[in-house]
Amino acid sequence: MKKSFDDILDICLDRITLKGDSIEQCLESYPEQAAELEPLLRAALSTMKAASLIEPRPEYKRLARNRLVSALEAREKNKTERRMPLWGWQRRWAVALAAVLVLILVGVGTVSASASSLPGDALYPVKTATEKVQGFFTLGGEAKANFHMKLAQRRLDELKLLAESNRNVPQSLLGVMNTETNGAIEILSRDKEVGNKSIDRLMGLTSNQKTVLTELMGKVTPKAKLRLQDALKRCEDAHARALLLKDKIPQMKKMHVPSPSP
Amino acid sequence: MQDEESTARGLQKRDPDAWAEVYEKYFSRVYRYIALRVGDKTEAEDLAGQVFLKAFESISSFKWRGVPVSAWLFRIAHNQVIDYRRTSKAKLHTPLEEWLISDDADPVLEAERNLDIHRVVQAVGQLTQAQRDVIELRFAGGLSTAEVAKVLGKSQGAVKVLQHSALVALRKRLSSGSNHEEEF
Repeated sequence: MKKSFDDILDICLDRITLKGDSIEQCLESYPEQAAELEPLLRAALSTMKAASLIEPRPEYKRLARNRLVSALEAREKNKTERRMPLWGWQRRWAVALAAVLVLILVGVGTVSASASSLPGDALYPVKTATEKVQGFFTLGGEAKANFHMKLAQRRLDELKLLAESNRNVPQSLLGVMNTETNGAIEILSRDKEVGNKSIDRLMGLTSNQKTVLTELMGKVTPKAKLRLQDALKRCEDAHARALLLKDKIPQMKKMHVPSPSP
Repeated sequence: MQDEESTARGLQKRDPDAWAEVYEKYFSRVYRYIALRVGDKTEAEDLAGQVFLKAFESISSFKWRGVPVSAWLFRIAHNQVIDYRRTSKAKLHTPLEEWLISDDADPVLEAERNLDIHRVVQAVGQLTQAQRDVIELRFAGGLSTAEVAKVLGKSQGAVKVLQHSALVALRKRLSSGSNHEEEF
């Protein structure tokens, strides 16, 4: 069956793009159509060449990849948690209630003494329980974001203190720090009224995280180094996201200027 | 086709390796397609990221009927751009000239490349919407005619006809829009 010109053009385009053939090789295969084919193939190649120059920024490509990985991880986590009898709002209330009970039982003195405890200390669970209660009663998007940042900074300080005193650093500490930072970013990304001050605070936090983790890198065992590298990568992504948020603030504000009253 | 099917099954099982493979293979292509359509660097990055998150959310409804993963992914990207256009009138745009500027690049080379992109974007922008759909998916997205047909819900014959007419129009616009000598 004789091929139509549209078919021949399509075959040539596939040969050029998929097999890496040259325009001349295609024209040789179709001498009768060569005169008509050549300018069209050159136009197609110009378009493909220009399109191939359009590349996403590498940091953004990595950021988007991490978001996808986070979505995969969250899905796994949800799957595990769905198997638990208490979940959702019921679980949140149960955690808060249990934490309040613990605080009442252990007393105010113990709570304030726990503030300086570090992971591994007897009072550390009291410290985290107190934080859970505080988090539960923190209302408003930006306030919650700031609370997440406060906790991320606290975990970073604990990490530094543990390392300085040559104590074991639990792996979960890095994960919690990253999770708290991402929690703040998620809230600030959704909040249309977010202020510059919160974004600056976020940038300061992520920048501080990068500095501390980089400093620690030379002082830890090879195994711990791998974990630090992973956490550092996440901090760099968080910093990149904070920068993107900063870039977006003027646009968000501009889009939310109230219309003038008549 | 066997590979396509096993990739699709891996995605459905939320296998991280399958998702990583698809991401590496398609992210830049999806980005290029969206960038050419919306003409905004920052928005294109955001939208390309969202395409993969949306794909992840909707994978459970994906049924393997021989439709390639690429066609499914670009269908999501295509719809994402349509939604974006519907709601993006108030948004600010990052000029096209900023697409490639980076701190460590040769400014002369960058300027030439930006000019190439600008010429092509202008020429593609003057095509009919149906022609644009085909050219953007085919040359920026790197899809085959069969895949483009699946994304757009057209026959392969119709896609080939549109491709031909679009290239005739592009050729005219590219040669009249510049005195550049095309070198290959």
